[in-house]
Amino acid sequence: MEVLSNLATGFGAAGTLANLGFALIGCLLGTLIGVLPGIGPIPTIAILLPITYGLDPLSSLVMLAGIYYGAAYGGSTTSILVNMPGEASSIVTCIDGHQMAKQGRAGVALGVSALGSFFAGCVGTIFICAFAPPLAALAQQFNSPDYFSLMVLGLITAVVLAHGSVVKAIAMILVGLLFGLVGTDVNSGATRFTFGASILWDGIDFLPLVIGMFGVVEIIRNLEQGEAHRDHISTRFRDLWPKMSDFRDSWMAVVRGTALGSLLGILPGGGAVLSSFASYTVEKKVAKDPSRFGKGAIEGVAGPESANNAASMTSFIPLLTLGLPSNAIMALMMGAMMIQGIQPGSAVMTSRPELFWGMVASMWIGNLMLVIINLPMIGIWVKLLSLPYRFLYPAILLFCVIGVYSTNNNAVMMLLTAGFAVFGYILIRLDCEPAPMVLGFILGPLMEENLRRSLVLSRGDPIIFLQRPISAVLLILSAIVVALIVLPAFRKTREEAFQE
Amino acid sequence: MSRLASRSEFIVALVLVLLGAQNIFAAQAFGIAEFPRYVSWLLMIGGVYVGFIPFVRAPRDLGSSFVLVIIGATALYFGAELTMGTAGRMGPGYFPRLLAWLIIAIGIFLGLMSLSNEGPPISPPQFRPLVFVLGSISIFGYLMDVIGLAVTAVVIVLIAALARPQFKMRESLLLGIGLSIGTVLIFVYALGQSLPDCPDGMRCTQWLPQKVWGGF
Repeated sequence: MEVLSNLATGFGAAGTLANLGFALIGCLLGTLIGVLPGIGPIPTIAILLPITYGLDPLSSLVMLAGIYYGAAYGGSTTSILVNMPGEASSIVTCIDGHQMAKQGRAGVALGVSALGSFFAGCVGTIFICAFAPPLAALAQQFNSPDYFSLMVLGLITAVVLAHGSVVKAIAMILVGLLFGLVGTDVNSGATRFTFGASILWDGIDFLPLVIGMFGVVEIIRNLEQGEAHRDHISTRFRDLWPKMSDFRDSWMAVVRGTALGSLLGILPGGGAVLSSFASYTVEKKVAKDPSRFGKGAIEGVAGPESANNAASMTSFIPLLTLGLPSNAIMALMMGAMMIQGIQPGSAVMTSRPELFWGMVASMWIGNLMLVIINLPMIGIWVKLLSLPYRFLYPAILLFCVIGVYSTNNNAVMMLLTAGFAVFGYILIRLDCEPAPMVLGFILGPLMEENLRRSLVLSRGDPIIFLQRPISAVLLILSAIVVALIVLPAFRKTREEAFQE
Repeated sequence: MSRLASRSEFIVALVLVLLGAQNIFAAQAFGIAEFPRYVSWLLMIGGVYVGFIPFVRAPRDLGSSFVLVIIGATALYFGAELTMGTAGRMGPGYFPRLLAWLIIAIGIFLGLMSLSNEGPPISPPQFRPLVFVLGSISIFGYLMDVIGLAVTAVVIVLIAALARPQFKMRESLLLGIGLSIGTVLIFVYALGQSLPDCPDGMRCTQWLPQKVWGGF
């Protein structure tokens, strides 16, 4: 049983008392920030990234995993209690979750969502163990042209899943790729777009970019909306634990959601958003009485919540085996790993197995911590939700600036952060979703390198991308996805999906 | 759009384009430049967009188009000296130029579409949150270098609190002091990050007897 021995390695490495503590703190902080209305997982992770810097690689990955799952769970809590989704994947949870909360069943909704997510997390961990080694073996056969085509496919599918205009999303990816090229070119040593600023010689720093464009912009946006009307839920949390009947109603939905999410999460560009929408649709289709949906059907919470957690587990697979992030959150994770000096990819599995499997184990640990701390603490999160925003945002802002500054104690970094905040603000004003930009930013140098290598192989002939079988298949898939976007019928369903 | 308004936009557009073109021409022909060539290009691009404002039906798309074209043009301008190379031997300028042209192409496409597709107007920015939030971020680093985290935190919280029109001095001051203590304890002492917490890069604990703190 190779899977078991791998897992044993992982738990041996990640399961130390100190690491468990980091996972716990990560989960707590992730939920703490993630639960704040209007702050989705991306800003949450961006804000909390700096605190993992000082730790050794494995501990920092363990803590990061905790933050990640905490942030996702925090987002669901906000969706259910105040009907404010922090990101696209929790929109579905709002539909029935908030209705349940209005009927006084907020605790049940939160409980089912936590337990469903935990089940999905367990299955997702097994999925990673089963699929990562074969995929990593496959990755060994990948050559530069294949990597390039894979990135094209990933970026294109990411576009389909961004909300709003497809054209703008493509533009944002390209801008991200361009920003990723700033700094010294590894091949020629030429400095590009540094404008004479030595701070840009190593490229644009990851933290000022993500904290500026996500953390700070989020604060400004919330402030503009004023003390927004919040749908308050004043239910008692007496019946937090789901009753037996709730389990009976929801366990099939959890299983279906988990299966769906695990599969969809592996796809490039896939992830939490797609799977939660898909799961909701499936639940509605298989239900005996579909009219209950939208009025507080427990399956409508259990299915999508399990699906998005399963997907957020399995979307690590392309990152860990191929070194390619499939969505903006994975791009953040990849950025964090690279800061720790780890270049995600199949090489990690063979050269540093304890790190790789430790990380996989830490995801499961993160999920466990979530259930352990959140079921008893839901009451506290609810109290936090009722804190006025005027107390919260100065604290969040302070965390953001300290986080950026502490990386190298350089005041210029703060100006860079403010600059990216302005840029992000302008983009939001113009309906350009900034999330795809991070994906491009992370992939920029990789994409250039693989394009360069491919064309060196073929002496400048782009036909090489179609001659290599793997690459050709990936490009054909990309073409199909593009065709799907352009086709009016699919476009309509996509728009409807985001409307809901 | 009234005729007068559209006429004034055309005049502005014309002035901007001519100013830019004149400067480039003067620099080329006589070697006299009033302002850098890059600025001339920005003026001309800006002028063209101002000229399109009377016809726009999706302002947000026209705005995105402007931003994209500016980004692409900036990349082309400042990347002009990078060696292009050939496809088989890509120089450092190859991929950036490719991206820049793609971005400009999408920008122009969006701009043209914005003249026919209907879209919502750009909501005007509120300057209060922008100014105070960005201001507090920008000065944070400089304050840290001089007075350290403990005081900086209070100042930053106060400035940030000004971002809301209903500013309350006492409440914000209390919040600032609370957060200052919290962040110093968490970041400097618990997480052990090398941040100055007091003026001149010192540690606040220097004033406390060594044996109490065990030489933190």
